[in-house]
Order: sequence, then C-alpha cells, then structure tokens
Amino acid sequence: MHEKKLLQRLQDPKGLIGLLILFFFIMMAFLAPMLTPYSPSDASSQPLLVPDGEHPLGTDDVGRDIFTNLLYGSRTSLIVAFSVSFGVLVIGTLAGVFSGYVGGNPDRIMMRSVDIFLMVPDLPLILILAAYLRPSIWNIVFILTIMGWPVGARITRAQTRTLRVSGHVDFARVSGAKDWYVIRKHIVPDLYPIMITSFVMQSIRAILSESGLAFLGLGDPSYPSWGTMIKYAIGYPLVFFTDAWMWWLLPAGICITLLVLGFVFVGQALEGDK
Amino acid sequence: MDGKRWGHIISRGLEYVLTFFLILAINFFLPRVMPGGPLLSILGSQSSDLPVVIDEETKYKLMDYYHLNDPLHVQFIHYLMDAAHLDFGYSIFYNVPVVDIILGRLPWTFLLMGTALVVSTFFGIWLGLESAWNRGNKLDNLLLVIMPTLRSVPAFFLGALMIFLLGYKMGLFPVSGAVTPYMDYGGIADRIKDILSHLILPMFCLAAFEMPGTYLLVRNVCVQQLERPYVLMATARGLKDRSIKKHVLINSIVPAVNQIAAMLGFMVAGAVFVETVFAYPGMGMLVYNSFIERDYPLLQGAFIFMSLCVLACNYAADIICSYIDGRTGQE
Repeated sequence: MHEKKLLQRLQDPKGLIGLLILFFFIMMAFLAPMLTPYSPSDASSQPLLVPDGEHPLGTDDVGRDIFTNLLYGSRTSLIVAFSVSFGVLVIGTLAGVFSGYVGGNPDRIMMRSVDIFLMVPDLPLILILAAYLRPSIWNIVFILTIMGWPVGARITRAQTRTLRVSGHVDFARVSGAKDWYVIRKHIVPDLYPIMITSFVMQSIRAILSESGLAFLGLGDPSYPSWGTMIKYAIGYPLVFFTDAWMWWLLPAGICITLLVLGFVFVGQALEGDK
Repeated sequence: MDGKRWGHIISRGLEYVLTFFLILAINFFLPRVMPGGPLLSILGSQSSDLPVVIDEETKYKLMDYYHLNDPLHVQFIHYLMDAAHLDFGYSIFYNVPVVDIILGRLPWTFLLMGTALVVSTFFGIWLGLESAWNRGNKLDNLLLVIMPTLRSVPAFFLGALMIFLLGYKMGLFPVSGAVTPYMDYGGIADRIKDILSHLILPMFCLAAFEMPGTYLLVRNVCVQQLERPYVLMATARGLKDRSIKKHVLINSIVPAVNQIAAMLGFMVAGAVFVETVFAYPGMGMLVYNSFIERDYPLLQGAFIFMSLCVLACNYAADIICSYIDGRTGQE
C-alpha cells in the first residue's frame, strides 16, 4: 500500500524530471568505460587542448581528458551518496527505533546527544578528522556517515513514537507479540516512506559534502571527483583568461548541481506539497 | 510565569555548557586516539616541509615537557585548565599562540557571516511568506524551482562563477581578500568603502547558500499558520492582506529564529567554502589553511572557537524566543 502511494507521488512532473536526471547520471556511471576510450588517470594527451573530435571537452593542465573525468566523477558521487545514505539509514533507523520504542531515560539521553551532535559545526570537525586520517573515499564515507546518522535517528524516532501508541501496535502487544516481532512486523514497515525520504536527503548532503571536501583537497586521488576538477580548474591561473573555463570549470559544476537537483526534485515529490 | 522562564533559560544554559565540555573532550581525545600519537599534533607531521626527526630520549623528554607521560585524567585536567586560560598552544605554521591568530580572524568572519545572515534571513522570510500566501500560484511554483536549484549549486562553484562574471568580466568588484593591500586611505570613509566593496561578493555568495533553507522553513511554517482559524476570521472581518500577513509573520517568527540559529553550524561550512574561494581572511579560510598545513593546534583551536560562537548564538536565540513566545517553559 505504501509503495503504491509513494509511486503515485513520484508521478508529478517534478518527480519525473528528478527520476530522469538520476537515471541519466546512473547510466553515465555504468557506461563510463564504453563512452570514452581513455582512463580517468591517463595523463598522456597534450595538456590544455581545446575541445575537438578526440577530446569532446578538451584536456586539463596535466593532459587528462576532461570528458572522461566527468563521466567517472558521477561514479564517485553516486558511490559516496549511496554508501553514506545506506550507512545513515541503518544506524539512524536502529538508533531511532530503539530510542522511540524504549522511551524513558534511554530515549532522553539519546535525543539530547543527537541535539548536541546537530549543533556542532560539522565541517571543521570533518577537516580535523580528515587531517588525521588518510584521504581515501572510504574514510570520507565513514566520516559523513558518522556525522549524518543523528538526523536519520531523530526523524525515525519521531515516527516510532507515534506508531508505538497507535491502535494496531497496542493490539499486537496485547495479543502477546514480543517486542522484536512488533518492531519487525508493525513498526519498521511503516517507516519505509520516511526511510526513503531520509535516504534522498542524505544523498543530497553526501554529494555536496563529497564534492566540497574534494574541492578543499580531501579527495581520494584514485577516484576522479567533480569537486577536484573544480579545484584544479580554479587553481590554474589562466583558466579565466581563455575560454577554458567553459569546458573545464562549467561542466563539473553543472553536473554537481544537476545531480543534487535530481535528488531534490525526487525528495520534493515524495514529501508532497506541505 | 517569569520564574519558569528563568528556569528554562538556566537549564538551557547548562545544556550548552555540557555541550561545550563535550566539544573540548572530543578535541582532547582525538589526537590521542588517532594514528601518529599526540606528539604529532604538537610538533607537526613527519611529511611536512621540515620533518622533525627525534630520537627516543628526546621524544621522552618532549612527552614529559608536554605532560604526555601523565595519566590520561591528569592530562585532561591540564588541558581544561589551559583552555580556561585560552591557551590552545602554538601554531605549527605561524609559530605564534593560536589564540592571537584566531582573535585576528574572528572580526572578519563576524562581518561576513553577520551581514550574510541578515540578508539571507530578510529575503528568506519575505519570499517564504509571499510564497506561502500565493500557494499554488505562479510565484510559488517559480520559487519552488528557483530555491532548490540555488540550494543545489555548491557554494564554491557559485563563488567561482561570481568571481569570473562579476569580478573579472565586468570588473565591478575586487575578487579576493578583505582590504586592498598597502593602500593609503584618504580617510575613514575610503576605508569603509574599500572594506564594503571587498565584502559584497562573498557576502552575497554566502547569503545565497543560506537563503533556500530559511525560505523553505518559513514557507512551511506560514502555510501551516495560514490554515489556522484566526486567519479565516481576519479575512472574514475584512482585514487588509498586509495586516493578516503581519499576524502570520509574528506567529511564525519563533520557529524561524530557532531554526536559523540551529542552521548556523551548517552556515559555518558555507563560510569555509566561500572564504576559501574569495581568499577572505576569516575563520573559514584559517580552518582551510591550517588543514592544508596540517597545523593541528590551530585547526583544533579554530574548531573550538567556532563551536563556542555557534553555541552562544543558539543560546541567544533561545533567550530571544523565550521573550517573544510567552508559552516557553510551560509545556
């Protein structure tokens, strides 16, 4: 029943546009090796070529094909987005359901610590963690998951509180159902719509954070990232004095914006007009 | 009634103190659990420009000098005492006390974030209210596309485009720094003009980063308010749109102020990107530079100061809200 509702919601124009954008980028990530003959780290071409038949978007200052990096960048963004959202979903749901179902003091302590967590400015803390750890994509996923789960926990917890006192849960408990059974059969299934929305929100956050961290120099060198491309494009002194910004800087920025926008539209469609 | 409000303010204050204590604790324990050990965070990384090579005996002496051989709880008490005296150690890169550097940077960030916050809050509330008022109309639908798009543009990309289009192509504004270096000011007016012209691009960039959140929040709150009976009553009595909007706005202001304060931590992240792109000498760029230099004491000191400012602003918002909303503390 819930699935049908969600699918119906996705059918407004915004939701469809959002899905279309997401489909486009997922295809881009899957088909990257087929769409380009180069590897993203292949720096054997002439540097700073203007776009032509061989290099649709030219090459950067060390001779890598920009179009190739753009294609593989969608892989990095999507991997980070899906891993972080999944991690947040698992931890957030576990913590939220536990907190909301048990209630009382554990709930109070949990929610207080979530409040505290949400107030701390996260980017400086991420940079501190990253300064101690190695720049690897899994460290970024780890850090973003750690910083993200409180949001997920809070949303799940609120919904669990409402479900906990609703009729069908009471009925199941009176009929002798054990806690674990109630959570599995009556609480978690009713959390699916919220979980999907929270998955979308976390993806937005993860993509923007990943590109931001890559821009600040935290990217994994072996995973091409749109953020890193913008970093090098801006860092190259002549980028604005020639036309190079049009095929070097602009496509990467537009890709980030479009991908995030796709998720935002899907999220808006799922939530409906409030 | 008043006693309850004071009780509320004090208990919130204690929560903030606890939060700050936890932030200090995180800062204390991070270097001690991370690879490399705590000495690394004082002396700098082995892979920096001048790798510090030290033998075991010197290392022991150094550990002794920094009280690193003491038991952990003694170290923590030392740390808290130092923090109370605003002593966060020496910057590895600049070789001056961390506090001195931070105090020099704070005013610029206050200027940038403060003005951006005012601009984004003003436009966010105004557009949010108009959007909710015209719900389902052209304006609302248009704003519901523009604002998410604005939210999807990474702040550093927007900054780069602004530098290029407004700064370089049109030459309207200077594109980096907060003042023109080595400039002879004719007078105080010249100086203010110079500072403002440097402020305007990063300020609008940061405001654009912050505004969609405020807009969406205010729109949602106002949509809920507009469904209340008092709005129907006001319309039935034939009140002008202007005065109905005023009532709705007053009733929406408390959640808005609370949320805007809660999003400050998020805005700090925006400030880091914006200041880095525009080379604006505030806390954000300091955090970025100290990260690049692996200047651990400076990075952690900056984090503490930024957290302190965010917490203070949240507390201020709580107090303001408890005065606007008489019901606070009566739940």
